[in-house]
Order: sequence, then structure tokens, then C-alpha cells
Amino acid sequence: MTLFGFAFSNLARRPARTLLTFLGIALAVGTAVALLALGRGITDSVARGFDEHGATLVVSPRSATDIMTGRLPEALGGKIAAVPGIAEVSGELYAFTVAPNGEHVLSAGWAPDSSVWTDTPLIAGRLPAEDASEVLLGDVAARVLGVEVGDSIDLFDEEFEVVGIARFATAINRGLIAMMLPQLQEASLRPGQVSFFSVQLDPGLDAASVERTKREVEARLPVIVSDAEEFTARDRNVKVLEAISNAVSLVALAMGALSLLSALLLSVQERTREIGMLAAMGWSDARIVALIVVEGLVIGVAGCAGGLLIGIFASSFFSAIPSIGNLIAFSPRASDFALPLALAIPLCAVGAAYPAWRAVRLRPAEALRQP
Amino acid sequence: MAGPAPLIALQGVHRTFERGRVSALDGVDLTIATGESIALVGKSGSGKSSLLHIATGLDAPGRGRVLWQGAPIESRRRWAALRRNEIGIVFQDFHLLPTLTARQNVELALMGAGLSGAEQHRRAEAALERVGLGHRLHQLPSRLSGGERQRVAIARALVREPLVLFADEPTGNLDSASAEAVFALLFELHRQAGATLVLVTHDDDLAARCGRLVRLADGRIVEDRVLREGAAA
Repeated sequence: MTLFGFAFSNLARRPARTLLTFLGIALAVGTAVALLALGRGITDSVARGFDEHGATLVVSPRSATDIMTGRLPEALGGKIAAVPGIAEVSGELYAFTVAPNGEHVLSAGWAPDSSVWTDTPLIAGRLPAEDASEVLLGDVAARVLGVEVGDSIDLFDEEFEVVGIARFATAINRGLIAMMLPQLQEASLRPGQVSFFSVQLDPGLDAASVERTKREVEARLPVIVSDAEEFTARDRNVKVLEAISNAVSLVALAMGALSLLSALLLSVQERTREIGMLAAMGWSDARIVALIVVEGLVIGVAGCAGGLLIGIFASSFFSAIPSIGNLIAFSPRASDFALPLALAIPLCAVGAAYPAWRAVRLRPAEALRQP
Repeated sequence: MAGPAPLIALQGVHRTFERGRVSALDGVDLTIATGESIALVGKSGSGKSSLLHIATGLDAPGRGRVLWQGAPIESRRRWAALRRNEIGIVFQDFHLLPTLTARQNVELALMGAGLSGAEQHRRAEAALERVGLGHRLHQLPSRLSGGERQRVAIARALVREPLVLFADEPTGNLDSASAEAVFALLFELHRQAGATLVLVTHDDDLAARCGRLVRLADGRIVEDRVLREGAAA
């Protein structure tokens, strides 16, 4: 018989407790994986949304803490465009509003001459006209709001006509209501303002030239120039969501480790005489500790594997919920598994080592006397 | 010229419990020579089991020391090595693991010896054959009688062919027929293998079958006499 075989046999002796401990760890790891995927999914979704618009760089106010509160004068666009290396500048305004059915929807105002419009993947209707109260909806937004081309929709206490539906590639854009920039500026009472400028650089610029261009813009204006990922990562709301996800993940992992610790403590306490017997047979302290740690690691590793499956399942499940899946691309990556596993397995080892240490601290005679 | 050192020597051993309020052993001196069969007798609470625990390193004396072949043993590691290779112990309660078969229970004593799985099987089966359980290798303890369980425990204690076998009231949980069979087995193994046998019992008739009788009362040796020279009955 091997140490592993004996450890498995000990776990099999108490199937209910082993299963519950396994589930405790699996749920903890699964929760951590799903939350980390959620946190990253938010960042990725927003960043990919920018990429889909063709933005190479984003110019945002230095003082802005997040996308929604950023305000820049639209007139700044001309000064940005004057910087060498910049091919196109397009002001974009974003604002949340409440749709007639109570759904909170993100509305976007894009400059009439922006290439975003020309690259829009229309599946029905046409693009909004420059001076009309017309909107284009992402296909998910159209489905959620239950509107089609030709319908009217009340936004910002004004009536807009739905003239087109587009199927963008990213979740955030598919849930969007887009209109010409002046329409949104007027409707949201932000005349002459944009949230940020989307910038396209001259083709063929090398990395050094890109950096030079960014520094030049930042030197001339009170703005920050960043790529889409940097811009999203700096967003306070995204940071808060990520921090919450990470904190809850850590709590979940700690709960999993505590579950293992309590199960093993109970198991060791129940088996005190048995451990005394192993010592009486000449098992060294190290071997007894190894046995208990192996038992802990077997449940821990199995729980982590189960947790990964739960995390993947939970991610698919959340993606299928319209209120979540419509906003966030939510698929776990290897990096989402790395942190939970890197923490969970050592936590399981520590959770097992403490009861093991308690077990061998007793003299064998004392252990054998236990009821 | 001094003879060879005794196998085990207890020198001035004291052991108390409950923060010194209860004295289990009070200055015990005892030597155990290779090949002896010794009966440790005394009433309940006389200190028999405490003496066995200290002589096997399962417990440590409060004062005094224990020598193995003349050398004092002080570390847990050294005691574990001795119990692994030189000392076998049989308890009244068998202490078999309920989910392991008879053979697997015996194999527990072989783990860590660097043996292959096949060699572990072979030795465990041989030990069970010696105690007459060759036909019960794959039975769980719950399917064995009390006497058979104790024989599995004896096989487990003997599988590494120890120099000394301690048996703590090995028949305390058995009916008289099973008890007689277990005693017969212990003495037969003692005779065949030449291993030292230290038997803790409160039964004077059974003790009389050993070569030497040591009686304890209130934690002290009150009688130590040779019953017969040579092997046990």
C-alpha cells in the first residue's frame, strides 16, 4: 500500500464529509474564477468596444475619473488634429439613459464625419441623418427594447425614430443606442461637449513616433492620451469593479481553505487514536504529517479542478443572462485560473498542515488514550 | 567483565498524570533481556500500561531514562525507528482500520520500508499465514471474529520481525476460547522466532506461563522473579 493509496482510502471512509469539503473548495475556486473573469471581462469588453470603432488612441480629460464623467470641449478636436502624426480625430459622447421599458441603456453620440459610421455593420435600415432625431441600435439593444426599424423610442424625454440596426462584434456595442453627436449633446444637455476623442494615427508610425505624438498632445492640452486598454484600466468604475471582484475572490478562496481546515481538523480529531496507532507501528512524525497533508491536497486539487469547471460553467451561465451577457463578454481565460489555483493549492496545504501538526504534537500514548 | 547490555533497561522511571497529582510509575528499574518472556501483572491502575508505554517510547518518563541495548533513547525519531524495526506492539483494542482488509492492515506496518507493492503483499500474506489467517487476507475487520482481529493485529506487529513484542492485555476483549488461542499463538511465535515477549495481563494463570513475572502495585515493582529458566510454557 502506498501513502497515496492510504490517503485515498481515508478519504473514502467518510464520503459525505469528503464530498462536502470538495464542494466547499470547488465552489470557492469556481466563484473566484467567475469573479475574476467578470472583472477582466468588463475591462476587455470596453476596450474591445473602442477597438471596434477603429480607435488607435483615446484622448480623455486629465481630471476625469471615468468615461461617463469625462468632459472635453468639442472644439479641442481641431487642436489635437494639428499634432503631427494624427490622421483623424473624432469626438464621442456617452451617456446612460433610461429606456421606456425601464432598461438602462448606453447611448453614444458620434461625430457625423466619423469613420465609425462608415464602418457600422448595418443589418437593417440605414444610418441616422445628420440633423434628424434618429437613432441606430445595436441588435441586442433592439431586442431588449423590443423595437424595430421604423419604431419610435423615447430617450432623454425626446422622441427618436429607429432608422437602423447594426450587429457590432462586441457586447458593449451591441447593446448601444447611437445617434449623431449634436443630437446627443442636445438631448443630454451637454452642448459642445464630448466624453473623449477617438484618434487614428498616420499609418506606418513606429512605436517611438506614437509615443512622441502622445507626449506632444499631452504637452499642448490638459488631456491624457492612452490606448484603449490603458484608458479602460484607468477608469475608476472599472477599477472599483475589479477590486470588488478580487476581494470577493480572495474571501471565497479563504472560505474554501477554512472549509478544508475544519474538515481536516475534525477528521484528525476523530482519528486521534488511529494516528496514535500509526505512531505505535513506527510511523515517523514526518510520515504522519505527509499522510494528512496528502489527504488535504487530494481534496484540494480535486476541489480546484471542480472549481475550474464550475467557473467555466458559471461564466457561460452569466453570459446567457441578458442583463449581464448583453454588456460583458464573459469567457474565462487561463489567466483567470492562475490566481485562484496559485492561492488555493498552497492554502489547502496550509489548511492540512495545521491539523497534521496537531496530530503529531501528542505523544502516541496520549493519542491512544483518546476516546 | 560485564555481560551484554540488556535489550531494554528502565532506570529510575517516574511518570505522573494530572499535573503530578497521580503517580503512575514511581522510580521503576527494570531490565528486559533478549529472548525473555515476561508477564507484567498487577491490578488495574498499578502502572502496567504506563510501563509498557514508556518501555516502547509511546510515552516519555517524567524522570529517569530508558536504554535500548545500553544506549539511552531520547528523541521521538529514534523511538519511531525502533518501533518500526525492533519493537512490535499488540493492544487490547486491536486498532485495525475498518475500511482496510486484513492484508492492508498488516501492510500499514510495512509502509515506508522501501518495499515494492508486491513485496509488501508477500510479507503481509506470510505474516497472516503465520497467525493462521492465510485464508482471510481480503476480509474487512468487520467480517472477522474478535480472535481473528487480534491475530491480524499480531501479524501486523510481527511482520517486520521485531526483536521484542509487547502485548497489552491482548485477550481482554476476547472470549476464553479465543483468548487461549491468541496466547498459544503468542507463545508459539515467541518460541519459534526467539523474540522477546512482554505480556501485560492481570490474569495470574496466564502470567504463570511466562518465564518471568514482574508484579506492579501503585507504580512500583513489588515482585520480580523467574518462573522458569529458558523458554516459556
